[in-house]
Amino acid sequence: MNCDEIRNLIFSYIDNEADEDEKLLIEEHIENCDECKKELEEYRKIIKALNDLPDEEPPAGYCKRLHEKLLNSKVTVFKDESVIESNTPKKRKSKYGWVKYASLAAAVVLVFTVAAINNLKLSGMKSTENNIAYDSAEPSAPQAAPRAESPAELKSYSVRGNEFADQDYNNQERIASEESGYAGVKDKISTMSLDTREMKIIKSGTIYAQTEDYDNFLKDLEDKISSLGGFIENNNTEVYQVHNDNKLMYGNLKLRIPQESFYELISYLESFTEVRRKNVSENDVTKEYYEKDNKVKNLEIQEQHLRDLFEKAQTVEEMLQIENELRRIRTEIDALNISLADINDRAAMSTINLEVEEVKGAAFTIKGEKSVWERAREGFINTVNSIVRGFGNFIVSIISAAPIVVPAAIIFIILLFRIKKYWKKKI
Amino acid sequence: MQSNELSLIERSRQGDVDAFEELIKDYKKIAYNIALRVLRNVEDAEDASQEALIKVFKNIQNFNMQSTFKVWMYRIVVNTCIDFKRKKNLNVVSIDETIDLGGSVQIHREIADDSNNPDILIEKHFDNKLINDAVNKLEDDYKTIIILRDIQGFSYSEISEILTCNMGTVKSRLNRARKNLKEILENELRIQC
Repeated sequence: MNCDEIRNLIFSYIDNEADEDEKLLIEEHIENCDECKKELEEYRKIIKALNDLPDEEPPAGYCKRLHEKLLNSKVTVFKDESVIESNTPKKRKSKYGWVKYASLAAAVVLVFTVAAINNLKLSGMKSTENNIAYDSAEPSAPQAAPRAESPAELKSYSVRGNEFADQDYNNQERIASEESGYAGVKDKISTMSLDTREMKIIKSGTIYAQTEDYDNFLKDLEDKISSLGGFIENNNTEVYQVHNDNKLMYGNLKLRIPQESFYELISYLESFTEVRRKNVSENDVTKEYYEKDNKVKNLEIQEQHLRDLFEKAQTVEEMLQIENELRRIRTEIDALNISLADINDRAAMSTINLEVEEVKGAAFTIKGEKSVWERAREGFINTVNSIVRGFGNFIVSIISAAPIVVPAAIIFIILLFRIKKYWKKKI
Repeated sequence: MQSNELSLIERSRQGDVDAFEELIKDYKKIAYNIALRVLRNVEDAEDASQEALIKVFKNIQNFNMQSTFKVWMYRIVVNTCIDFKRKKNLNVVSIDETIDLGGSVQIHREIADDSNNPDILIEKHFDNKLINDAVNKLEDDYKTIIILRDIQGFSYSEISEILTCNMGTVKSRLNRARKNLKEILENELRIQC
């Protein structure tokens, strides 16, 4: 066993959670290896220092305030029915009620729309009646659709955010141009940049996933990424556990990927690994970017002015002063250009921080021990699904059969009455 | 689980506040301290830990006795604190990332990666402030596990239940957290030199 493997084991050794074999291995190794011994001592010292951190006492009155809050919560939890004491949950109830009814209405509209369209397709007749039905169904469809999709997607939200930022940006521009000494020039720049403005959005994600075969996963991932035009910026792979002679690997990868393929890669990762945690963000830096960009343009104009002045300068002192000023402006321009390039780079290439853990043993035991409860749950879910599906089909067939069934039923009922009357007369 | 605790849980379920307070008597200080370490601020720590304890009280009906009460309670405490932090959107500062201080000011934080004076950890004495600062610089996941294991002294199996992950994950995350912490400490001490 080498030092690296020992060093992954020393933590459970320090915590007294190592098994006997590991203990022996470590003790043997430490006898002969000063490096690892020192490492062990260092960690012991750090952990002891952490252990010795004193616990703080809760502030005065903590218990009293907790007691009051507990009593309050008791009122809301245990006397939910009483109207006077708990008006907040009541309010919430009515608010949810609205949503419930609205969604119910949306669902009904949706069902009828689908049924109507379905009906049209099924019968395939060109009668005017059907056309009317289609017309009246159409406007209700888009009404129902947004409501059904209403849990706003990240994307649509961020787009709205951009619009807002744009407005803000315009206002600022206007104010700035009124105040600025370079009013004319700046105005021109801002109107120009408004036309050609391109969104600068930095997408980034953090994913924590588990896989059963780390090496193959990594190989596939590399192929996928290079096919998308990205690269792995940083790959930090280690063996974190040895399990029945199997080395379980852990990798911390930093992936850079062209921003248009960002979501493609994420869905790729989701389909080939067991994603445990996922965090995706889109950060809009358009405003910041164009502010800097404008600053650069202004500075360049200023630089040009200074150069013209420099030509006309007569004394050495003047020249030196102008030169100083020029140098200052040049440095500022360079600094801004660097950060612009940085934003460009980060916007063009999204970053995904990927943590992958190999979980051979764990996955097997879970699969092996499928308990009665789990199987029952699966069965339950299947049944519910089939009920829902069956119910849907039932409604669809009823509605599609309605044009035939309803008149038939009416005729049937009328006939029934007639027959009853007839029999009564006879008797 | 002790029978005393069981009867207290039973009474809490019926809404007995006194019984509940008796039940959490030994735990609330630790709950407060966990919150304090995660949120680094006395007021927030009080708010978050009390919010968590109230959540425990409200949801005690849902406690299914599969784990110990202690572990179940701390799971709620840890999750509430982390949510609280996320909601407050405290600026989380990662240790080697570009920080934007608004406008054009950007600072690069980096951990120097030279191990020239390796005995620094053995020779130096750490005071509480140094250790506290170092823990605060860890990422949230690592910080949580260090708080649970090394500061509050939970066992591996308890941690795996509190964080609802398997033992392998606990071990590997703890390993990485400690390695990170050591790097941060080495760096701090080197600056002090």
